[in-house]
Amino acid sequence: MRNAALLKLLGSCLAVLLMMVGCATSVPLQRAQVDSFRTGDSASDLQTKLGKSTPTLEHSFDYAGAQYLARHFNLQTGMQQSGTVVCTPTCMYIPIMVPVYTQFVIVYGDAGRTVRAYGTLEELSKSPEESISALMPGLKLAMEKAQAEKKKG
Amino acid sequence: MIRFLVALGLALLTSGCLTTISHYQLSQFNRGMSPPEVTEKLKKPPLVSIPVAVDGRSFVFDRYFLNNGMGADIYYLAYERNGLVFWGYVSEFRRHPDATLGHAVDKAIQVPTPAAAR
Repeated sequence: MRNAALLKLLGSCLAVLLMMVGCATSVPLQRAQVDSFRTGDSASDLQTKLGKSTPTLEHSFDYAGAQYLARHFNLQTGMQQSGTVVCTPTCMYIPIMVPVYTQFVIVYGDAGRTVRAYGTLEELSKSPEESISALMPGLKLAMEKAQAEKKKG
Repeated sequence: MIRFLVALGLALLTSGCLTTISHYQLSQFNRGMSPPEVTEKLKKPPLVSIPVAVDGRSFVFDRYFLNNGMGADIYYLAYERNGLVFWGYVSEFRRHPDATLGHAVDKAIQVPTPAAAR
């Protein structure tokens, strides 16, 4: 009887773990990686800095006759406690630490060869550098289109 | 009695939503947006709009409450010539390279929020 309850508890924990792994379709960026980025980095240099991090979305967009590439990542900004209740048959709360992400974008110019800008959508949109903030309306429109296509496909 | 408690709970829950904006909404803004375009994105008007003149420039500061998960912080959207120029917390305005924006927000924070908007 006790073994059955233990098995049920382990099974529930495994299910939660699998659910979390299943949700992690991309490898997030960490703040330490972002600290190593520089505007003007070549795409290959930046790829080395990105390591195993993978984008959640990639798309191109145009601005003032030039084409840009945007790669979106999940930047891990912290952890928060979540939890689940497992009843075997007495109920207990199992706390789980869940990562918190914010959307981070890297913009490549020069036909995708160099890094033009990087930051959260909010940071880039309100950048005091006019040449950066001016890119954002076009980037966001293209992003919405790419997201819709990704959902469809 | 239960109906009354449910109604009260819903009223309390939605009253917070009516007066605050959320962090995810901040990435929808673009520089140059007009006040109506911003209001359309936020689905709610500002608590108060404050005209401020500094160093020969005229701004309008729209004050909102930004939900921080525990409560709400004061958040400003600044317009110049009817176009959005910057948005952020007071500290972000003060750190902006355009020092006039920092001086302007210092004037805006002195204006109280009307009781009816809170």
